[in-house]
Amino acid sequence: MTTTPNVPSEVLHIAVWADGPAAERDTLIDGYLNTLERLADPQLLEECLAVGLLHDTPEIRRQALAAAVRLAPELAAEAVGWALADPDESVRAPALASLARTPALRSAGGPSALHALLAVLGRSPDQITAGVGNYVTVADAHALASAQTLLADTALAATVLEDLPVPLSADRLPSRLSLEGMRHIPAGRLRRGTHAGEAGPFGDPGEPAVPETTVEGFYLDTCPVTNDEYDAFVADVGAQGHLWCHPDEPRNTDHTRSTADDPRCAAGHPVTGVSWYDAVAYAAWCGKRLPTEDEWERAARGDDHRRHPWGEQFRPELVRGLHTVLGEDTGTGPDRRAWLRRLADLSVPELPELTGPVNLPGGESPFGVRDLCGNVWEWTSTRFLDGLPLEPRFGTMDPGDLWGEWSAEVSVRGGAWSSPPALLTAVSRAGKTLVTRSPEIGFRCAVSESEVPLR
Amino acid sequence: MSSPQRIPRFRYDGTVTAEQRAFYEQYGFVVYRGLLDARDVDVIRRDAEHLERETLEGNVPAEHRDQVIKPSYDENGRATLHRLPYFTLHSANTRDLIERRELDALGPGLLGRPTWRFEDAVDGAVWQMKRGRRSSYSALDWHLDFPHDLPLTPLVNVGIYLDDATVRNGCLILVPGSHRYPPRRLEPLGLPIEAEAGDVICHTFNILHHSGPVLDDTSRATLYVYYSAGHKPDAGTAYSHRAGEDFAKMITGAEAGAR
Repeated sequence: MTTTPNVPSEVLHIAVWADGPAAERDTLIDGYLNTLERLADPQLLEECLAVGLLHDTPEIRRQALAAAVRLAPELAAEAVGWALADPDESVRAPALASLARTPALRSAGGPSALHALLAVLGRSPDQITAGVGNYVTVADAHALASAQTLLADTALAATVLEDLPVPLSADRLPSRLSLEGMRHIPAGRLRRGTHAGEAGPFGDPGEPAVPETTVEGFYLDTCPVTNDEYDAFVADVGAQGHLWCHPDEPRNTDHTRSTADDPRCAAGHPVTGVSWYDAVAYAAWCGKRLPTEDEWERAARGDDHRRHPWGEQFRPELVRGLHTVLGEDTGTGPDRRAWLRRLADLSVPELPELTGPVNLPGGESPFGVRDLCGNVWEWTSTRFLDGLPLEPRFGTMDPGDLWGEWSAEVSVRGGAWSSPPALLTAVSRAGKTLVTRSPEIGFRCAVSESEVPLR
Repeated sequence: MSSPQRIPRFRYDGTVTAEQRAFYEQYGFVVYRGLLDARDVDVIRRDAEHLERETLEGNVPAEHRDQVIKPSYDENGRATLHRLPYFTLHSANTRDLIERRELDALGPGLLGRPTWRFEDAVDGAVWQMKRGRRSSYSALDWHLDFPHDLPLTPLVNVGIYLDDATVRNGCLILVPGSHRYPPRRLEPLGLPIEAEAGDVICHTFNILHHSGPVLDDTSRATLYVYYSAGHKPDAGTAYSHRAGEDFAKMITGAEAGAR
């Protein structure tokens, strides 16, 4: 609080008083109230009243409220509005009583008071008038009586009820789910990872603990989500609010992709620069979800567990990898060390292009899903290290603290425009921390057979 | 589907590959599947039965008998031991097996420098048995094996599994990466590592780990062999098991110790 020479010492004393015997508090309150009576300057009076109205101690708030009603009619309506939301019922009750008793207060602060009361009591005037509901305490009864008094003023009631915001949540919106642009992948077996005797992809030399599993039937987007599709979601969040977000999403998340200002990332290219949380929110926005890693792998490998969506052999013309971006022919591609050296030498800002348009023909998987390999790595809903569903509960942890946290690593699949042939396969996988926004990571969405409404 | 599905299992052919070492350095552990076959496991089991009998009969020097976990007693009052220190020092067949299967290459392979095997100091190689029923040793709270500034470190704990380890019988649960960063979650999220007899799980000396209680009728034995790249103490130097547990307590606030 800024101290000015005009603020009386009694007010300063009460401002800094935090704890102590009740007698000491009451002495300070007496001094404070007597001082308020003497103040002639209306602005100074309001400032000094605010000290009490916003104090941590309920008794001081209560006394300040009574003083405000008595001494400062301009401030009283606002003060009552604050007090109506006070968690301490011993403050709320006198505020409500003041409201009921004082017609001037109602005319000055009626709309805001009725707003506050409707937030507590519900939105139905009939219900409030009838007094039927979950009302059990003295403060409840006061609130009900005050609301009934205010609602009796039909002009006021009409204005307030018309102005009430419409509560909105994602589950009250009509589902956007459409199977258009999706492919059906029937239930079937998946043999995870590489076949015996085959070389593993870079970075994943082990064999999965459980080498084979069954995948239930589901639908998967034929192509990855594009920039323009994603930008429509961001615009809708701007218009409607964060209705589709994961509950664990870091506070103050802005879903705008980090590549939004990069002209190379054109409308029809796969979206990049989005975190796992962004991808989850987008998927919820269109009534879908991210695929599990097993679903992604089954969609890419088919019933014959092939290495690439189109077959066993690498076909450079069917996939957008580093060879495409650099305009090079490729055989088996560089070894890992040579490839990493090339990436380290790469100046990404100077590259004429990164991603390419989605829907590259010829590289479909046996189920007709396109672009699974190359262009962008794709987020899944699976934890990287153990292959179980990712269930982030990082709460208020700083995103920077998630680096090195194994349970924050998500499996990404398929390789990107920066990948060599060894990573442009249906078996390659990598773990990325879920808050990562990379120009090489995008996603597509899935939906279970059981989640599709009957037609 | 609740058991971990994709934890990588590696194959060991006498050398640690660059990929395996990279995984070990990143996550602090590595699982080798089927490093020993059933006959190998039997060799160690027979050695364990022999050493337990010799210990109970008082034929093992007092300084080589376990001081950490009390014996358990069955319905007939017969004692069984949970921990046999200096195992390879007293078990020539197991010592020979470890050399034949080239386990001694795990230490330098994973740590990247020459190592020595615990043999005649700090308890040597340690056989441990967890039992559920009538047992003084079933579970172990969160702990680190050794604090980071011990002269013995860095070292790798090589656990040779002599029985299947499952979530039901209290398998190893560790926090991957916690050897590099202290866990920053309020409650660290552990990863259960199930194993089969003959599997070998190697983990760093300072990874946060624990094991749950045995909930079924099985019992579970493991032989822990340690490879150190640090200072080698004189023969007979005693082992202080509290050190690592006290260190873990500082992190988790939990009271460590067998229960």
